[in-house]
Amino acid sequence: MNMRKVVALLVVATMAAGLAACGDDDAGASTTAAVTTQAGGGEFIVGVSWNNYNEERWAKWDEPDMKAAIEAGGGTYISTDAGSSAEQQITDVEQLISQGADALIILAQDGTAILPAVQSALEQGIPVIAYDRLIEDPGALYITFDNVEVGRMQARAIFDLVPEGNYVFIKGNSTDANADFLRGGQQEILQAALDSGAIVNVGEMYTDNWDPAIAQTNMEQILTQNDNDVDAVVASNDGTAGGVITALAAQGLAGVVPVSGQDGDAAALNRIALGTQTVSVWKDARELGKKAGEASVLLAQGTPLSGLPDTVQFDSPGGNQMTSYLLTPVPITKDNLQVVLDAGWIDEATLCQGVPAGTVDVCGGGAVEAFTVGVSWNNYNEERWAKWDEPDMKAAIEAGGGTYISTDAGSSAEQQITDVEQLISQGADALIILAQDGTAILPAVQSALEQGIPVIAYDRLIEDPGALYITFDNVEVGRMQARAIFDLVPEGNYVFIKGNSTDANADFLRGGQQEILQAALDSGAIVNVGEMYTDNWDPAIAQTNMEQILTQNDNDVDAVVASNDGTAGGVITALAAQGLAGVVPVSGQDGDAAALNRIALGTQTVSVWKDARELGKKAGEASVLLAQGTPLSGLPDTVQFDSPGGNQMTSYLLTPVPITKDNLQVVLDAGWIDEATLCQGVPAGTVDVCVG
Amino acid sequence: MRSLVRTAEIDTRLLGMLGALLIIWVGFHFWSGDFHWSKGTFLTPRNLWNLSVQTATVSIMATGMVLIIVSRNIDLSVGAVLAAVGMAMAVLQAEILPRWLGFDHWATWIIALAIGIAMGAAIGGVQGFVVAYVGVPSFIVTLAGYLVWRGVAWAMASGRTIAPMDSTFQLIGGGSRGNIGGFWSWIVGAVACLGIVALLINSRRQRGKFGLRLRPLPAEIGIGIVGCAAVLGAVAYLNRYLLPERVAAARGGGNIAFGLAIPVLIAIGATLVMIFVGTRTRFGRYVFAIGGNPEAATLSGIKTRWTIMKSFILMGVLVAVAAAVQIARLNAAVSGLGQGAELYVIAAAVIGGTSLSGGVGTATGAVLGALVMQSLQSGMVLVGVEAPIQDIAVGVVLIVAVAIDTLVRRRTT
Repeated sequence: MNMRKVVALLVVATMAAGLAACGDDDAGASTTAAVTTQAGGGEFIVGVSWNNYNEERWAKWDEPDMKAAIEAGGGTYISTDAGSSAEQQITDVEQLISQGADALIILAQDGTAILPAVQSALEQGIPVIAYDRLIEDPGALYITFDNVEVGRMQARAIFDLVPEGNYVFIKGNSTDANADFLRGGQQEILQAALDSGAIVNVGEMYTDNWDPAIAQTNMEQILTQNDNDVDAVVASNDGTAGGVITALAAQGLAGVVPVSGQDGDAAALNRIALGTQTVSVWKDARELGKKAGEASVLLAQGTPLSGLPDTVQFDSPGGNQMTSYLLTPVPITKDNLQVVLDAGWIDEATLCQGVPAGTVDVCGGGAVEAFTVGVSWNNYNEERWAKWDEPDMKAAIEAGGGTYISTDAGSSAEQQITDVEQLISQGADALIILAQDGTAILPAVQSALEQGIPVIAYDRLIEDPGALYITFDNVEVGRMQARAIFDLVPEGNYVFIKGNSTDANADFLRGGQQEILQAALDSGAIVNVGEMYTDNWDPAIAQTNMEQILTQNDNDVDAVVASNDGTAGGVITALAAQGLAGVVPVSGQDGDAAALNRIALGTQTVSVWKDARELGKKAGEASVLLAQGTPLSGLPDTVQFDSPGGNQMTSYLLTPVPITKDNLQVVLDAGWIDEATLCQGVPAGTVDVCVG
Repeated sequence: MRSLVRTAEIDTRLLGMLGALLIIWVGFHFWSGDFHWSKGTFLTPRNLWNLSVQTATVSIMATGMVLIIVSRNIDLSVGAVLAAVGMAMAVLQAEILPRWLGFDHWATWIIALAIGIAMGAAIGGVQGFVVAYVGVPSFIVTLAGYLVWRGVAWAMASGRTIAPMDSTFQLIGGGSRGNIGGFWSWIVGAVACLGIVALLINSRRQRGKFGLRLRPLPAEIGIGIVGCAAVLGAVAYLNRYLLPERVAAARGGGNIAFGLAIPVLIAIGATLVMIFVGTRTRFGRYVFAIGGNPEAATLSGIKTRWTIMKSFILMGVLVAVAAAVQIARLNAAVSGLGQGAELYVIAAAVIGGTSLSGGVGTATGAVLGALVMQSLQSGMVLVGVEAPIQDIAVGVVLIVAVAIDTLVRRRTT
C-alpha cells in the first residue's frame, strides 16, 4: 500500500467524521419546521422563534409562563420552530414579521447566523429579545441566567464546607464561552483563599463536550496524581459532577469530598439527597420565560430598551454592551430540596431513590420493606375516582414504598366481595374499600381483619369498628354552610332545604347547620320559616319545594341553607322567578361547576368543596402506615366517630373548604375548574378571578 | 538482532508497538514526576490499573472493528449504537424492570444485559443487511446509523440522565467493587501462563506433524518464559494497587488488593474470542479472504454477503458489551454517551496495523492501538495538558503511527 493511498483514506475518514458530527445538528431541519399560530384577542403580537422545540425543556418549562405573561399583558403569542436549522430560523423570523409580530423573542440556533435577520427586524422598528443565548447586537435585549453568578454559587457552597485544602476544578467544554464564565465566577470567590495559600489548585481540566465519561477519567487521573489528597471538587455542571463522583466513589471518597454542579438534573438531585453531591445550581426556566414574556409586552407597546426597568449592562465576548436581564439561579443543597419538589421539577420517588429514611427531611418514606395496598373501587367509571381520588392515593402509596393494585366492582355489591378476596390473594397488605353497599361488604371486611389485613372504609361508612373510616366531616360541612349564610344574614327568615331523607349524611349536615344557628333560633333573631327534605337530592324537587315555601311566606325569605349544589340550583331558579336571585343568600356543597359559576355570578353564596385529592392522599398515607403494621390506635391524629350503627369508629374526618366569591382562586389553582367555565357570563370586573 | 527476531518468528510490528508504548509510558512517568523518576505517577500500579479500565470499552469495540475494516467496510455508527443500547439498558434497569421486580432484583442485570446484547445484534444485523444484501456502501449506511441511533438514544429518555444502575450491573464497570481481588488475579495469571505453554506445545506438535519448519527449541522455551513472566509480572504489579483505606475499612480493614477489574477481564475475554474467531474459524478466514480479494472470494464459493452481515452482527454485540461496561462504569447513562467513540475505535484499529484497504489486521494490534491512545490521553491529564492539546497530540500520533507503518511495509515488500 502506498503513501498516497493512506493519506487519501485518512482524509476521507476525517471528512466523514466531520460530516457526521455536523449532520447531527441539522437532523430533521426541513421536516420539523412548522408554524403554529394561536388565536387570541390581543392588540399586539409577540412572535417567538424556537430553535428546536423538540427539546423537552422549551415546551414544558419555558413556554407556558412566557405565553401566560404575554397574554396577561393583552398580547397574542405566535411561534415557529426552526428544528435546529440556522437557515430555517432566518426564514422563521421573516415569517413572524410578515405575520405582524410587534416584538420578537429569539432562541438562537446560531447567534451569528441570525444577525442579519435581527438587524433587519430592528431596522423595521421591531424590538428583539435574545432569549437564553446571546445574539451579538446591542440593539437586542439579552435575557439569560447569570452564569458568572452560577460559578460564584458553586464556589461558595464548596468553600463554606472546605475553607482550606486541595481543590480540583472540572470545567466545561473548552469551546463553550459559558465554561469560562462559570470558571470566572468560581475564581472570584476563591481568589483570596488561593492567594493566601489556604486553598491550592491541584488539578484543573476542561471536559470535552461536557462528557461525564471524560470528567470521570480526568478525575481518576487527578486523584492518581495527587494520591487521593483532594479535599474539594468544583465541577461546573451536574453531568461532569456525576463523572467526578463515580471516580471518587471508586476511591471510597464519595460523600467525603464535596462536589458542586449545575442544572438540577434528576440524577444530581438524587445524589444530593444521598449526600454524595453538595450543590446543584438550579435555573428555573419558568422564571426566564416569564421575564421574556413581560419584557416583550413592554417592548411591543413601544417602550425603548433604555426605558425597561431594572436592566443591567452586560459586556459580551464580542465587545458589545448588551442591555440585559441576568436572572439569579437557586443553589439547591440537602437543606432546600423541598424547593425543586414544590416546583414539580422532580417527583419524590425519583429524588429519594435509595435514600435511607430519616437522613434527609424530604425523603421521609425512604427505604422500607416492599408492601402492597389493594384498593377496591365500587364503580371506577365515575369520573371522580380516576381523576381526583386515585392519583394522589396512588402517589402517597408509592411514595411510601408500596405497590398500588386495584379492582373495580362495576357497581355490583357481590362483585366487590369477590374483588376484596382477590386483592387479598394478590398479597395486599392493606385494603382501601369504597363500599358499594356498606352492609353487604361486612363479611369480606371481617374476614380480611381476621387475617390481620387492615381495612380502610373510604368515603363511605362500613360498620365495623376494626376498620379505619376516612371521609370528609359532613357535620363540619353543615356548620360551614350555616356560618357563611349567618355571617350575611344575622337575623331574618331562614329556609332549610335538606338532602334525601334516607341518607344519613342529610341529617349530619342538618345537625351541623343547627349547631351554628341554635342560639340565634333560640333568641328569635332568626326564624325557621320552612324546612324540607329533597327526594334523591333532586334539584327539580328542591325547586318545587322552594316555590311552595316562597308562596307560603309571600316571598318574605331572607336566607336559604341548601345542603348541596344541586338543590341550591333548584332553589336559585325558584328565587330568580321571583326576582330574588342574588338577593337571598344560598348555601351549597360539592364545588359543582354550575355552582361555582353561580358564585362568580353572585347568585349563590357558598359551596363547601371537598377536595377529593386530599381524601385520596390521606387514605394512601394511612394505608402505608397500616400496611407496615401500625395498629389503628397508633395512627396519628385520628378522631372517634360515633356511627349511626352505634359503633365507635377510628376515623379521619377531613375538613372541607368553603368556596365563596372571595376565594374562587382556590378551585382555579387546583385545576378543579377552568377559568372559562367559572367565569361564563360573568361581567368583567365584578369578580377578581374573572378579568375577562 | 534482526536475524534472531526472524528465526524466532516474532511479529516485528507488534514488537514495534510495544516499544512505542514503552517510550510513551516511561516518558510520561518522568514528566508526571517533574522529571524525577521516584516522583513519577504514570507507572504506579494504580495508574496502570486505571489505564486498563479506561481502555476496556474502546478495546472491546476495536477488536470487532478490525473484522469490519478487514472486509473493506467501515462502521461509523458504533458511538451512536453504544448510546442507544446503553440508554436502553439503563432505562430497563432503572425505570422499567423495577416496576415488576423491585429495585436491585438479582435478575435485573441479566435481563438488561441480555436485551442490550440482543438489541446490539439486531442493530448490527439491520445495518449489515443493508450493506451486504442491498448493496449500499457501509460508509453511508453507518453514517445514517450515526444519526439514527444517536436520535434513538435521545428519544428513549428525552435527553435525561438515567441513574443509578442496578448494583450488580455496576460490577461490569469496575469501581471499587467490580474486581476479582488479588487471589483470583493470581489464578487468572496462572491459567493464562499454562495457556501460553499449551499453545506453544500444541503449535509445535502440529507443525511437526505437517513437516513445517520448526522454531529452534531454545527460542520456543524463551518465548514461553517471557510470555509467562510478562503475565505473572503484570498480575504481581497490579496486585500492589490496594483498596483505598476507606473502602478497605468497610470490608474489615487491612491491605486488600483490587486485583484485575471485571471490565478488563471482559475486554481480555472479548479479545481472545476475537483472535480465535479471526484466525481459527471458517468465518474469520472468509472475512480475510473477502478483504484480500472480494471477487476471488465470491468465485471460490464463499457466501460473501452472509459473511459481511455476520461481521456487522458481531460488531453490534461487541458494541453492546462495551455499552454495558460504559454505563456501569459511569453508573449513569446520558444521551451523549460514546460521542466520538467511533473515531477512537477506528483509530485504535488503524494504529494497531489494520489496513483500510482490507485484508490485513489483528485483534491484538487493535487492543495495543487502543492502549497507545489511552496512554497518551491519561498521561496528558496526569501532567495537566488541556483537552484541545490532547486532541492535537492524539491526532499527530495517529498520522505518525500509520506513516511509519506504511514506510516500513514498503521497505519490506
